[in-house]
Amino acid sequence: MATAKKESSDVSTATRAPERVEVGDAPRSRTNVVELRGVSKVYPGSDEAAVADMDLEIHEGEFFSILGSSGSGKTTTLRMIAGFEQPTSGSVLLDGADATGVPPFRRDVNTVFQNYALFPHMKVQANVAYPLKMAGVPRREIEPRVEEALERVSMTGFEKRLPHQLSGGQRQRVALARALIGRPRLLLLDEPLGALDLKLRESMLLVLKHLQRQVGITFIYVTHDQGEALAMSDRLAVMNGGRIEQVATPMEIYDRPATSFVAGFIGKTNLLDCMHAGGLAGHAGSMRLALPEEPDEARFVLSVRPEAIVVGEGSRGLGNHYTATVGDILFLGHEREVMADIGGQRLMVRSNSAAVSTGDTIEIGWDPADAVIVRETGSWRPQQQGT
Amino acid sequence: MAASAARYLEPVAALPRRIPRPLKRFLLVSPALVWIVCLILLPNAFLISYSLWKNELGTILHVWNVHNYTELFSSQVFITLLKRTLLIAVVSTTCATLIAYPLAYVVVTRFGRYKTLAALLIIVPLWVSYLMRVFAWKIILGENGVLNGLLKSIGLIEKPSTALLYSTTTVIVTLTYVAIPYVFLASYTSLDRVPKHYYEASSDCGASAWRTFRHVVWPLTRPGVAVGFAIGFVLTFGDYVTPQMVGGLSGTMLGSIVLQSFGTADNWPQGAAIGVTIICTGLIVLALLSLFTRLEAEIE
Repeated sequence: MATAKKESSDVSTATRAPERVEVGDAPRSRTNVVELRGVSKVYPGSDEAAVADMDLEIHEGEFFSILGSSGSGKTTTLRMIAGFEQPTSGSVLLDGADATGVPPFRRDVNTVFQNYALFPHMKVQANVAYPLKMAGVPRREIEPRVEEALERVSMTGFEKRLPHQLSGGQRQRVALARALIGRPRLLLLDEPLGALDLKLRESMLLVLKHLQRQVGITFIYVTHDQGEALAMSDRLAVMNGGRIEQVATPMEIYDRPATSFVAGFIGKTNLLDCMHAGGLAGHAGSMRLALPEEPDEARFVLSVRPEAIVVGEGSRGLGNHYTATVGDILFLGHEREVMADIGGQRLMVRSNSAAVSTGDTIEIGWDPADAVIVRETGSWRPQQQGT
Repeated sequence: MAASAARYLEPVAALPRRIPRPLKRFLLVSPALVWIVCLILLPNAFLISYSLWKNELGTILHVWNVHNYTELFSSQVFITLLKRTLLIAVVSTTCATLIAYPLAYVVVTRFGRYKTLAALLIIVPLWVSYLMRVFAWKIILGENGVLNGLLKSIGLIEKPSTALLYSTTTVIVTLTYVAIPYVFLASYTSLDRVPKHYYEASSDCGASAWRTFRHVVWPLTRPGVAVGFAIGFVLTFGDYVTPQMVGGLSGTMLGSIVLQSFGTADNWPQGAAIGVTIICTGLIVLALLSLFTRLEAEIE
């Protein structure tokens, strides 16, 4: 079986070369650590697919995030990669070999659970040593490796504690040490920071990112927090309703969203329902628009980020230029979020000027190249969340 | 504002305290106290006193002595019975545990959302009268019983066997059956408390189902099993109905002797002494068991 038994080769090479340092920016080999081919998952007793016809490739050594609201199928995807769930159809490939149906304990994959799942009757030392013990690593080898793993997550000195004697952040780090000690090919993280408070999250984000660089293991990180996903990932997939909306680098996702859902879910944006008027021209309601490119269809959605919209005299030379009436103003501290009304079309723009007040007339505009034509997939609305 | 708040607060503070505090405390605790005194302390005090009094042809002389105990422990019959009773109770409860715990494990891990239904079906026999359940075994194991009939019809035996009923084994089988639901209940509760993600985490760390059981599930559920075993043991150790109905002479247990002493023999002090011995033996076994119930863990 090519889906690597945990014990064998990996462990022995790891002991010879304790540090598998890989520079984050070095060109990575294009081996697919994980490949999903037409994977669908329908839970028994449910009509709707939790994951529908999904294709995904995750490369060696990358920090890959799956981003989506709850019920989008991101955790199901992760559980199929880990082996806790079997796909209803399609196949899961690990390192190029079909792993569909292979039980979790035979996969060279480790998971950091959302609730950590540390064994409550084992001390930290035993918890972290558990994967090695299961792999049959000799006892004298286990101890230094546990020490090293705990040191890596700055938990030295906590060996003799039981999990319930640790704080949330400490448990998190022990869970991380346990998941990494077997040096898996792949580490899955299921909303690992979900239960931590803001300050701790931020420091754990850095720990994670640093750790991933250091050990060079492929990370798949599932989260609903777009900030986390953008900050951490080499690439990320945005999921919605069991389908992948887009897979790209964080910058591409932000600057060139493929669908209206992605545009709305990542950051703030204005989505304009437009009609094509020939060539690079279109209109949204009574607004005439210059377009970045020719749309494929007569009706399309244009995404314009608020920060792409210039307010004031600077907007005069731009391809799209309008006079707008100021509606509501939200004061956010470093800037103001202004609702600008252009003949019934409402646009959100940003302004630093204190001179703007409700009822004023302002000039706004944007370079057509700063807007993106996106595929209509329904926009993200918080109240639609949940399952 | 402050004035109005004070106005609202004052009457409450001025409320007369009708019941003085120490009395109130006593009243609150009293139901529990009554329970403990009437149902535990007094009966045991009586039992112990009786066991230390003297029997004179059916009348009790209030003379303190340990004669009843010395007589008991010098009697070969009593020693044999005590050993047999211990053996029967330990063996049948162990058998019940060996059946009920794996059963509970399968129900909890494999039955999904039907596990409550499955658990209910296993406990259902408890709704039937105890006598009926024991009597059912008489029907199964008796000379003209179901088992003999079956064995005869498939040609394994020529004529009905009388060996099935009225033996130590019969008592063990029946008491095992009696103890199963109780051990099951305790095992089921403790197994059900182990969250699914512990199984997953263990599997994720490379442990097979068996090793997950050995290293994670068993240590976490052992205390529950010990409790189930304790209940089963107490139940079977003091039983006198089952031995009397299916045990015959070789299946006699201490409980039957207690019944006889208080009944036909009319020797209350001796019966009380046996009773106290049963209680003490039970306590010793429970104390040994409690070593297994300790668990220094908190399941989230």
